[in-house]
Amino acid sequence: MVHALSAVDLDVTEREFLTILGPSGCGKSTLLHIIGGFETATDGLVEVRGRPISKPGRDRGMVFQQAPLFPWRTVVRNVAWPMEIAGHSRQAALARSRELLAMVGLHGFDNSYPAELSGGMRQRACIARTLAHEPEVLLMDEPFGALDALTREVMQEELNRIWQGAGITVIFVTHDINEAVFLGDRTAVMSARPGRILDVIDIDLPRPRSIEVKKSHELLAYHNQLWDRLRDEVRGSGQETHP
Amino acid sequence: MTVDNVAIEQTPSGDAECTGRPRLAPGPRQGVLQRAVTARWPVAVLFTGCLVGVWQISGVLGRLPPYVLTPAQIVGAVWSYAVDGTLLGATVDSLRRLAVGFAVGAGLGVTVGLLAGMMRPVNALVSPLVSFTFPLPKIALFPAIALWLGFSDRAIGLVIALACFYPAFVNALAGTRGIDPSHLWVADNLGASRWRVFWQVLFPAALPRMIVGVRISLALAFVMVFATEAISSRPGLGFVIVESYQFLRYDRMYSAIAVLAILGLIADRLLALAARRGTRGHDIGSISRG
Repeated sequence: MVHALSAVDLDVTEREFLTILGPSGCGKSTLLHIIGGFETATDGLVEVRGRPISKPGRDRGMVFQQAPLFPWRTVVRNVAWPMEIAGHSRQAALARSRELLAMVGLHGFDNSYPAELSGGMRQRACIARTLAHEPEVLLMDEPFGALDALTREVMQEELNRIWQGAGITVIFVTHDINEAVFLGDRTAVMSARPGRILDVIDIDLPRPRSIEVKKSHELLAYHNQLWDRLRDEVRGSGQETHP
Repeated sequence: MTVDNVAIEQTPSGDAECTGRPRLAPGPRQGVLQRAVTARWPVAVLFTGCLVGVWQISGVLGRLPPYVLTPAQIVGAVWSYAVDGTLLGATVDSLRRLAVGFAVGAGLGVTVGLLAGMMRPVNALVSPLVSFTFPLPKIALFPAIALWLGFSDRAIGLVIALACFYPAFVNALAGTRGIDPSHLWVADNLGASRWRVFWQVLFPAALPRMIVGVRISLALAFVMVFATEAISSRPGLGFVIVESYQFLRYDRMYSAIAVLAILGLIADRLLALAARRGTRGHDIGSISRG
């Protein structure tokens, strides 16, 4: 057995955007999977509003890195699926699905199949599908990790917008420092494996965050602060991770 | 170099993400002529037409041995034996055995394959048996089965079913095994029931592979119906072919071969057509990857 995580203590406030930043293989995805209920911690407790977590549930919505849409369903039917499971009529589910697709900027692609979409568009659809079951917490596991750099920038801004519109708690795992700073209200920095929380840093940048924030000196300052904190960890684990 | 006034179709989302959207169906603006050029079937039809033409002309010019009939002669033979009832009766007999054997064999193969793919104990029970008996040509069992059931329709149906079982089973199992685990995580996250996970995730995910298996089963069913009839001398298209060969009635032989070929083509097309709806999204995937 791999000792992936040790003594992680985190409190996430409602409607907060928490980013978890750590070197590759530090166990940050494992942490997210435990919160999601996909993996069980050997020790410790995860609670959402006082309820202990043991298995996946609709109160937590996981957005996976690989954007797993069902290839046999059109986009609108993919997003409608969580509502079909909840027992909504097909009509109502499709109507809500169209609203959500418009919200994530996929208006006009309702009847496309996932294979007809680009990676960024697929991840938008996945976010819409996750929002469709109205989770209290959105768990995002390096959702933009597989996207090209340009699309990733666009998606970060989009996620900022969506998050502010949806009024939802987000826990976002990444190994990209700028992404962690740009998105987060707070950033939790994790050590190399076995991962533990080194620091939780408040990101005091104005909202709504636009492209201007990305270019600001404040963001750069946070970047440098986090990078200083992380550098030894990356070196220590013997891995080359580009910031 | 300068690039000037380059236009690109904007995605409705407004950003410049490339969609890589394949053109599946010709748009309404495309003309008939353009469609004829881009479609592949005219080329195939033309090519086949040329081959048939060469065959016909060689026959007319007397370049073919007497036992090779020309296409026109075959068409004539099909017509005359259809009119006198020889082919009709044989076709009904063969199709009946084929349909029963194929339905039972492929149906069981898919069902057991899906079950084995989902439940480890079933897989542990069935898979070793299947891999042990897979290499055996099922036609070799025909005499043994005939000892038990006689050279009857039931024996033929059983051998066809046996042959059809394997490709359907192996591919249905592989289809369920090869499912993307993240699709199951999504279902887990949403609290989907087992029943729903089966019908709305596993089944559609495995469908393309399952169809591949069933199509191989269908092709095998045609092979088996011919072989069993040839061996057992039960009336049917296979028997007509062998008997006509023995009595040197080559026109009759070719007419039965032609009917068998046409039936096989129709059956395969029907299956592909029925499958298309379920595999549309998958097919687009393979086109855009290709």
